[in-house]
Amino acid sequence: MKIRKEFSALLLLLSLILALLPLSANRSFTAKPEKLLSDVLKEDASVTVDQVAEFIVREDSTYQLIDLRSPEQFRKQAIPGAVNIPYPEFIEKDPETWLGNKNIINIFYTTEDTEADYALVYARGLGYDNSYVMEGGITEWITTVMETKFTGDRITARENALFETRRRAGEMFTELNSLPDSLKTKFLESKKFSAKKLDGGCE
Amino acid sequence: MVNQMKFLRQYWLILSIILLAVILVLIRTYCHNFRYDAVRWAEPSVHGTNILTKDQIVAMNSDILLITLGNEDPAIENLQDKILKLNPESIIEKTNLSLIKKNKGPVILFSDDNSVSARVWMVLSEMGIKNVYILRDDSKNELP
Repeated sequence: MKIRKEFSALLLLLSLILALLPLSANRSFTAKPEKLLSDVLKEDASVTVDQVAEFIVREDSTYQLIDLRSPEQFRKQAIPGAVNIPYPEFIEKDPETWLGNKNIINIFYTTEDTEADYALVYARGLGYDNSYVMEGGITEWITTVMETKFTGDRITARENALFETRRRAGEMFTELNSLPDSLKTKFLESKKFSAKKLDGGCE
Repeated sequence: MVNQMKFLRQYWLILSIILLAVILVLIRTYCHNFRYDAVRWAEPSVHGTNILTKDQIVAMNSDILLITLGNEDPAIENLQDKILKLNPESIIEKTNLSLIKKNKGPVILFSDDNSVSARVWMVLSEMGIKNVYILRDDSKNELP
């Protein structure tokens, strides 16, 4: 009887310890703080709007644009090819769903930068090193890509290529955002589908 | 005493398993560089409660530590003696971290580049430092 009591007490203690064990379902950062901070503060953790414009024009399916704004803001104005994951949802849900494919480079953007910056540290801290921020957000996109103008007398080949990319990306942006909401969603889906189809090459 | 020794001899295996489990729990809980449950530590950024304005800081009477992560100082009167200039990467050095942890009032991060203060904030918050805020200087965005 005494042994049974002692065993019960020990089992109780063990179960208490098990109850205190952190659940693996609750995520925590895996990176080293020094490395993480140094990585996210590097200039190459951000991409410029011109780089994004180029990905869009090329319809490059190895890049995924993630719009962290609210669904209302996304419906009103979105960069072609972007997927909408509102920031609160991004933090609360398992990011594996969106960032799990290591072959795809994820680029976050918001209206300006702050939430995209949080998302960058959060994603990289959890081990998704394929995450970047579009510098300046959609505000910078409007200023640089949409309002681009050539004012000089002569233009170099490089300037011309940049101007052409901006113009084409700007056209695609206008084309997408002038569509009604329902058509806009279908448009984004069709773009994704055609990109996937091309990935396979000749078979 | 004899009874205790007898008990230890009888249950040494179970006791050592429990001891090992306790050590593992303690290691997993406290010896991480980052704290457990990333969602919880990121929550202030979701609600925006980690952002302070100049007016809110001026109204505070507590022991503020204002950390400037760059060259530009925030133009706040009466707080010049509470400003600490740091390189963003050096903020997690042992001495600087202990300074932040020891400060009784809020620790406020300021940078002329909002991205830097936001990124540093997320790292510090995930390390379990609760009283860290970001000073947002909106005057730059005001129309002339």
